Amino acid sequence: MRELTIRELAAKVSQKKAEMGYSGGDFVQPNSGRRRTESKRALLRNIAAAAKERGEEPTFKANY
Amino acid sequence: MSEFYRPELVEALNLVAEASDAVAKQGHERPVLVGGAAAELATLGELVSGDLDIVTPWQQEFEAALEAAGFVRSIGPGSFSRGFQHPHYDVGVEVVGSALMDGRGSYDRIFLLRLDNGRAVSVICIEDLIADRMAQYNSPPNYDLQALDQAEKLYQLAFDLDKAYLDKRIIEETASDFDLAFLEKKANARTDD
Repeated sequence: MRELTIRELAAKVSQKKAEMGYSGGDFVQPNSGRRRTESKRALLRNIAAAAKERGEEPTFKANY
Repeated sequence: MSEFYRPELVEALNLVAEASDAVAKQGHERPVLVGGAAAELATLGELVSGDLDIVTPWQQEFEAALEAAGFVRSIGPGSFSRGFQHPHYDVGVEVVGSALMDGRGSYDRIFLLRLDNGRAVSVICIEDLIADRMAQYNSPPNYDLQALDQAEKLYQLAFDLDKAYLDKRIIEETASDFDLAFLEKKANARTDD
């Protein structure tokens, strides 16, 4: 099985990103969310609710 | 590695690696990371996933190991989830299947992602990940343009691509409606913008 460290992966993708001229964020469109299963929607809702209880904003944005 | 990836993702990967080790110690194949979190890794965090999708035929063993690693079953008011969430991190884990892409994905091409703590997570290959996005795009009459955009970006950021295999997989996943030539044309058009 091929093996890669997370640092090697980050370095390789970072190099490709630079080659493509992508700097900064928002160059990939997020999921529309329309294909999510009800189970997945519930999971994301529950994680967001738990974050709110801790007084935090979830680190992800999702349509659920 | 938090300079490249969200701390929540890295911590979740550490815990999934721990649970995967427990499954492997029982003599089973390691569970495989698929879906949005694999895309988050492949885009250097440009795509952000709220949970880690896992494929394994050893669901019961893996979920028991997840609980031992600190995850709890996700329970919310009026909603049912098959997933697990962490009490301290904004991240979840869900077993989404028992076979990689319903048996069409390649176990030979999975790679082992070694984390800073020495543990490892098995991850779906980039070709299957791109083909999965193309399958999501190919949902007429309302084609999922976000999925196509993700496929293009995953293709552009991929390294060591096996283009023959990718072409075969796109054709398989889209019932021959699309192929690599289509994806390359789209990706190159965006590059030329």
